[in-house]
Amino acid sequence: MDTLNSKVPAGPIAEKWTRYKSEQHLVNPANKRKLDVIVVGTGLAGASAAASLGAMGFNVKIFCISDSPRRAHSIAAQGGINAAKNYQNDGDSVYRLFYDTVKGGDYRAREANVYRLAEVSNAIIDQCVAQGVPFARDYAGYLDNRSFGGAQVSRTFYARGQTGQQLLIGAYGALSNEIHKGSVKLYARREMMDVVVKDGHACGIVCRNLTDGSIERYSAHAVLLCTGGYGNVYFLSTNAMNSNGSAAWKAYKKGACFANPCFTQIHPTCIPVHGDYQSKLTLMSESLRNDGRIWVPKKIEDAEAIRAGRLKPTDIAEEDRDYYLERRYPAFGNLVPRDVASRAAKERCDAGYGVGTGKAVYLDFAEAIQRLGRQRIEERYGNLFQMYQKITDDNPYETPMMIYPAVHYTMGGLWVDYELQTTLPGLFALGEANFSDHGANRLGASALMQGLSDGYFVIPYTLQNFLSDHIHDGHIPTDLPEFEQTENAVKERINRLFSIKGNTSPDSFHKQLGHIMWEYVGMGRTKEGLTTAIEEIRKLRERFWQDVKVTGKADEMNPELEKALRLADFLEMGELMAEDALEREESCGGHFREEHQTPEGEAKRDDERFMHVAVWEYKGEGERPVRHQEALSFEAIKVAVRNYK
Amino acid sequence: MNKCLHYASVTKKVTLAIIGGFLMIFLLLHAGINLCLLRDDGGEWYRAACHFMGTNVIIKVFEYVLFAAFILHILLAIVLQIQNWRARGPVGYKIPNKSATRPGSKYMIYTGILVLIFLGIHMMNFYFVKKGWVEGRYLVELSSIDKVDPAVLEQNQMQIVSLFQAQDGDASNAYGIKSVADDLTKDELALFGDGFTAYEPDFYNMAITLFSNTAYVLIYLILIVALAIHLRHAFGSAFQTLGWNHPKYTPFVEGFGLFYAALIGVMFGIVPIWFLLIY
Amino acid sequence: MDFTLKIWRQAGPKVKGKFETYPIKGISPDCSFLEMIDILNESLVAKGVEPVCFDHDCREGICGMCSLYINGHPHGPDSQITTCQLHMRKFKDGDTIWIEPWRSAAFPVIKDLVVDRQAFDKIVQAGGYISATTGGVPDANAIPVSKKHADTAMDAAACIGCGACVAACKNASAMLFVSAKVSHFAHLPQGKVEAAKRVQAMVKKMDELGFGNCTNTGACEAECPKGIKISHIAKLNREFICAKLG
Repeated sequence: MDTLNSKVPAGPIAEKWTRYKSEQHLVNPANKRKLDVIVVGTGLAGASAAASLGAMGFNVKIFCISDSPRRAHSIAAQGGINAAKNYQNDGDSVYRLFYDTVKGGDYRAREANVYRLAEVSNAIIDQCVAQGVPFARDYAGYLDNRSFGGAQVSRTFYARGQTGQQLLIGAYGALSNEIHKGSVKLYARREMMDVVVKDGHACGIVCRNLTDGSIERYSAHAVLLCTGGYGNVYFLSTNAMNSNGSAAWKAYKKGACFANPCFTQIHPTCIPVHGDYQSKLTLMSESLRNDGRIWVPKKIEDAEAIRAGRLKPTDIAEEDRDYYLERRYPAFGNLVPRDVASRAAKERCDAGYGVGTGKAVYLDFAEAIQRLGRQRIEERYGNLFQMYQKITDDNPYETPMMIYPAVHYTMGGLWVDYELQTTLPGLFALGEANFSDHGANRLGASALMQGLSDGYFVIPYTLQNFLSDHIHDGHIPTDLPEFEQTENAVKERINRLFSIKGNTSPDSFHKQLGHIMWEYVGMGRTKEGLTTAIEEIRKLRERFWQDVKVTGKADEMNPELEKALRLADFLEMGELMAEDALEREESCGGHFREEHQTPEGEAKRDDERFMHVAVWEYKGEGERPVRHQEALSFEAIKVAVRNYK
Repeated sequence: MNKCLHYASVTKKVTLAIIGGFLMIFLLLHAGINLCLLRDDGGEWYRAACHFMGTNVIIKVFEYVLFAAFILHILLAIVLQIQNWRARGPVGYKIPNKSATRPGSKYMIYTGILVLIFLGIHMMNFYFVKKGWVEGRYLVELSSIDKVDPAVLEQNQMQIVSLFQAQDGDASNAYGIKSVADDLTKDELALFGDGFTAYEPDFYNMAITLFSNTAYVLIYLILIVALAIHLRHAFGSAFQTLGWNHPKYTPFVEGFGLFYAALIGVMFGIVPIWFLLIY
Repeated sequence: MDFTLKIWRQAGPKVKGKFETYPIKGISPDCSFLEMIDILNESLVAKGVEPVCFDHDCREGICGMCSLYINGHPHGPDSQITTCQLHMRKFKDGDTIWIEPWRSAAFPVIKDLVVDRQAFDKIVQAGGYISATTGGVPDANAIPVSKKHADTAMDAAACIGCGACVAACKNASAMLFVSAKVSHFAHLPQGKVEAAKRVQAMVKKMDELGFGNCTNTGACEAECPKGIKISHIAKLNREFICAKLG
């Protein structure tokens, strides 16, 4: 790879996207029918892209790891989706949404992409309402909004605590419509195993049928990866059990560069870890911070008494409570961005003020219940409170919730240009799988916005521009030697895993990896820690390939094999994350290097040296990947120190 | 039958519900007539009701509607049930389902079959008598006596008069003659001659005879309970199937359904219990 | 806590299955049901036995992937939760727990406790959407929707497509699932345009796929993890009757 060309159109920021759309190439309807597109993943990005492209007339094949597109993990997003509608007349605008997102991302996102995201945000809401998404409404029948972290306006649209579900079902409906019409073909219970590359272009995929274990080949003129993030590298995260980073990782190994792998979002409001048998962490929506107040005891002896079970939170007098977010960040209070809130919680717990197991803080609704009444709180958060109670057996209407940060989202991902194309021509990445819009920290309610923006309103234009050069290619056969080789390599890898016949299950390796990652590549990172992490991960990887035990057979439904295959990739990915974190000697957004902080403990950016995207290029097994840089320049926004005080 | 399978499930259920509603109205009417048995009038009201039901033209037309309704209701229920059994798939559950359900709703086919058996017995005992397919008891009104062939009347005069002679407790005129000769056997009826058709089945005496049989009453009561259970679910269910579910009114419909089922059970059940206690 | 697990094992779609007994010891009451199976599976792997296949994904009750029929209840004995949200504190120490897959002709078993629920997708594909293609739609606030209707639509739209309604129903009927979709759209002005076509197409597909008929027992409502009411089935019936008459 010679240079990174972000292909950002020229002109003032507000005109770039309009200009792009008016200058891009189109494909006429007769030619669209001759072009095949593969979409991997059926979350917001994948489903919306496949539905839109199918409706345009392309031949789309969509691959789904679960039994139905509706299971994709976008479904679990609770709080809402941002848009610059300014329905509340509180001074919102496209520019302000853009500004908040860039600032929230600590100036590590590509400006032009973020502006485009803010620009199309309004159309997303229109589209979703037309699809029948039952957003919350006021008594006049108009759409309601709530506030999210990092913003001083109310711009978040929501459908109770199930916004992600409703948006996904909207996109799934649109997708189902196209499947019904025959423009999209659905392949359920398929996991992408590798990208097939011919003459430097992505021309298809090889995937494993999870029902019977058969290896299948599919060809296309473009491949879209909408496969989400890699947060499960930490083992414990809020991601679903099937969420994995393998598709992106395989693309990386086939020539797509990986950007900012160390940018991980640790979400401040999750239910704390309570046992070593635990399989995943449950998120409590950020929207709870609209009304909930976060605190720990002011006196260390009170904290100790609570941990020992001698005191209950309700026993602590108002003046003995430390509402540390309100104290430290009076302007934003409990609604500071996620990275800030998470670090503040860690700081208090590390200082000995934690409650529960010591790794938890309180999220208290007593004041809100008093102010608004229990019924209003129930209307707003009923399902979240119920979920909390089912898991913890505590009633949050009576006693404060306990929360602690947990891995939630990965801002890093495959590097893409303005057209969402990776450095591997013909391969595109959408949604969480790419890196482009959130910088070093994503604001709440922006993930849904990005997934749908990429799928409904960006890729239909940019992919068409790309495919306009391929109208003469004709159908790509799947018996090309490139497919043969890729399939053989996949089968070989599977056989290799079975042949180890070790003693340790994939899950127990995964737990060990998660432990290393959380310890050293988690909320607070140091040079020593990261160096240790790299060593430990290498050792663990070596042991994995000597001692993993995969039961069952290759040609049947085999979840153990699936886990082992994904874990093999996580074991490589974790190392790159640590490597990237080590190289980025600054603190920004979710990436906090303890060496780089202000005396008050705030993140200290180094714009001189690190105002760029770190873009990693794979150089082969055992070779050190090369770190490229995409310089970031901000024309429409003044770069400043992030201040939520 | 084959065509029936091709109607949408909802169409079949809506049909079933509409018919069910019609049958529920009929049951109320039937139970009302049964209650006439309780009046200590030697069957006067009951006979009047039976006479009306047996001779009114509109009712006679409705009789065919009623039969069609019963048959359709039963056929549809069987078709739906077979589909429902097949829908479970090749292997069933080891542990029977323990989900909370509406009372009686899981056993509709079984209560329905019991009601069907009851219907069969009932038809044998009463309706077939009316049709003349089964021998029963008959009655002849005094006013119909002029319809008897005069030759026959002359020949059997004594026996016919004796049929009209009142026993102790019977309502009669000054000459000790009843207005109706009742509880007649087929042989006694033959006295009126071959061409005589102005007789009616004597449902009153047939009912009393049946209800004085303890075994019959017990079976009758069991089947009535089955009917009540069937109706308990049927009432609300019919509303639901017809799409009438409303947060404000549904609780009332549910309550009324319970009341209706209990009412039908009591109305039908009280008659045999009464007779069992009296005789 | 200690339990005796009786789990349905079936190697493949066409193979005969049977129950296997697995004792399990030392489970924390705070452990979730699926975590308990994870622990079992780890112990089976250690013994070299193939672990139990079961569907699961988000483990927070929203994806609708988990699907176990536990002691006679889909999603276990607790109300308004999915299996992944069920915790072992809901059982008594020493309990025997029977775990079966969803049983329905339309949901064939793939392996062990995993069933194929693509029938639901097919019903949705038949018409469970508003055909608004991308772009060319009015402003989101152009058509006000009364809060009451928006809320009712949301109640119905909360369906996660897990199939517990089919599993619980004595007739293996999918009416609650189908009605939730029909009712969701029928309560919104945007959905009314295609309402008549939608309800007929979805019911037709549902019948074709071999689901049973609704007899209003209410088992689906009792087991629905999202508390979807059978009033939506009445709404479907109403929509269907109007569509047929109209």
